[in-house]
Amino acid sequence: MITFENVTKAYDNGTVALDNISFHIDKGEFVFVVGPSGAGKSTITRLLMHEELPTSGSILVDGIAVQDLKRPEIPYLRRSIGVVFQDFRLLDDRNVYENVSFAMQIVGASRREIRRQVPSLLSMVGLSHKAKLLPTQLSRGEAQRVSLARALANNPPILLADEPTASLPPKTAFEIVELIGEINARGTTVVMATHAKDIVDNMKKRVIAIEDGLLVRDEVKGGYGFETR
Amino acid sequence: MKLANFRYYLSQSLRSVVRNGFMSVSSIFTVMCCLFILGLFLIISMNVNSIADQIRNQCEIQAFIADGSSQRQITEIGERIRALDNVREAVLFTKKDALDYMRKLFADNAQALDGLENDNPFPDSYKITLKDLSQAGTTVVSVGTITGVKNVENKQALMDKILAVTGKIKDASLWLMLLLCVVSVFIIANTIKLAVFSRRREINVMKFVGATDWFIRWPFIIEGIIIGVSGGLIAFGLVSWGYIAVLKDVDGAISLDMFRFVPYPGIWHILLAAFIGLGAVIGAAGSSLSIRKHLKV
Ligand SMILES: Nc1ncnc2c1ncn2[C@@H]1O[C@H](COP(=O)(O)OP(=O)(O)O)[C@@H](O)[C@H]1O
Ligand SMILES: [Mg+2]
Repeated sequence: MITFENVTKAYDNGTVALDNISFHIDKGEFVFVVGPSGAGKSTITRLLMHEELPTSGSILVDGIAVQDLKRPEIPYLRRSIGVVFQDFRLLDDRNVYENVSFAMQIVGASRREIRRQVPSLLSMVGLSHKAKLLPTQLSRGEAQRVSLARALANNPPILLADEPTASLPPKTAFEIVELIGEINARGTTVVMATHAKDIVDNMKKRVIAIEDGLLVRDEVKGGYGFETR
Repeated sequence: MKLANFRYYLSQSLRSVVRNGFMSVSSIFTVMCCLFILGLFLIISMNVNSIADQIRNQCEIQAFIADGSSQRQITEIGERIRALDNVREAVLFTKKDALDYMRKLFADNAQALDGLENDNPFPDSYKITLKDLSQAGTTVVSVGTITGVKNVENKQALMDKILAVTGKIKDASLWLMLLLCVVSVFIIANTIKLAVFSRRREINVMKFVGATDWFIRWPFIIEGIIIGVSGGLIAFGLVSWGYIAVLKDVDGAISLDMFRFVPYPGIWHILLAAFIGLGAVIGAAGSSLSIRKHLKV
């Protein structure tokens, strides 16, 4: 589903964020990308979304070479990847329902499709009863659930989560990861960047560890492995 | 563009116009001012055009008849004039016609002419329209040789001057209109820039959920068009109202044969189309400019 082949990314200022990285993720996998802050985890997300281009190497998403995409094709790549971030990125002037339906309007979904899909997404993340609330009226955990619902609105085969639990209290963090686990169980390929040791150790999933832009470990049922400060 | 999308764009644009209320209102106001002034010049141009046309049609020579000519002589002179090659038409303009014309010209001060009825100083004359204006000089000479014609006045030199002036007025208003359009474009561009900034979070979300470039751009373009057309419509209202008032005030006073104002019913649809069209084009141009610069998608 996702292949990195000798990918190197140096930013314009010379920072080498990824250094000759290769890995392959199959359809339906759940993979943690771990590493200390500044290791290059978010850079992987940016490359997958075509927000940044690799300096060398190639990236395949569902058989498509991301670095070769033409500008008009980029939105369609992004539709096949749902993303959630540490800071949720919800729109504060729209309620929960509208934040999710927004993602569907953007791809030109009909009102009928939206009316059918959004409630089922909200019930999946357990927020049916809060559809009318504004993001500012939600707890952080609830906000992340909304952002998960939005990420899945257009049924993407891939879910990228960039430190989705970093700003959550431990109990809520576990609930979110459980929810992401459920989403994975329904067939969505999940790539989750994190530096939450206990979560990674607990889930016993595949772990890709990077440090200073180098892939240092790729284990099938791995633990976090880094010293936590 | 799908209908569902269009509905979405429109609602987004209106939302943005309302949300940036103050900016929207002030840029609608500025666009209105620009288009209002532009409208004035448009009307002036139309009138200048129509005056030029009227002048061209009237471009005539006038043959004055010697005092004391009899009615028969006058008729005979008319026939001889009409017999000339280049003459399209010769219309008798009597002493009385001349006096009436002056009365009209003096309007409120017409009493100054009282008492002239019995001792009318204006001569009888023929107003002659020509087939070929470039041959006016020869025709003037020919008419001048007809016995009983005192002198011949060729208004062409004057007409040429007037036409040159009206031409300059038209050129100047064209440049001014262009300038005002450019100013309006920049004002709208600035408003859209602020709209883009105030919605950058939303734009960011749109990008990562996979909106196409145009899906992100359209609401801003439409917002610019809404502002432009709103300003245009208000300006249209003001210009119409003002012109109708001016016509009412002025038409009685100087309704000369030569300088007749263009009547409003004849031009309102041109004005309306011009205002809506210009407003839309200005709005679209302004937002495109701004998007190109500030909306990195
Ligand atoms: N836009 C950028 N320009 C320059 N350097 C960057 C940019 N984004 C990230 N970096 C650098 O690249 C390295 C990896 O960043 P990132 O992928 O965000 O790490 P992580 O998500 O693992 O914390 C860091 O050293 C960071 O400072
Ligand atoms: Mg990061």
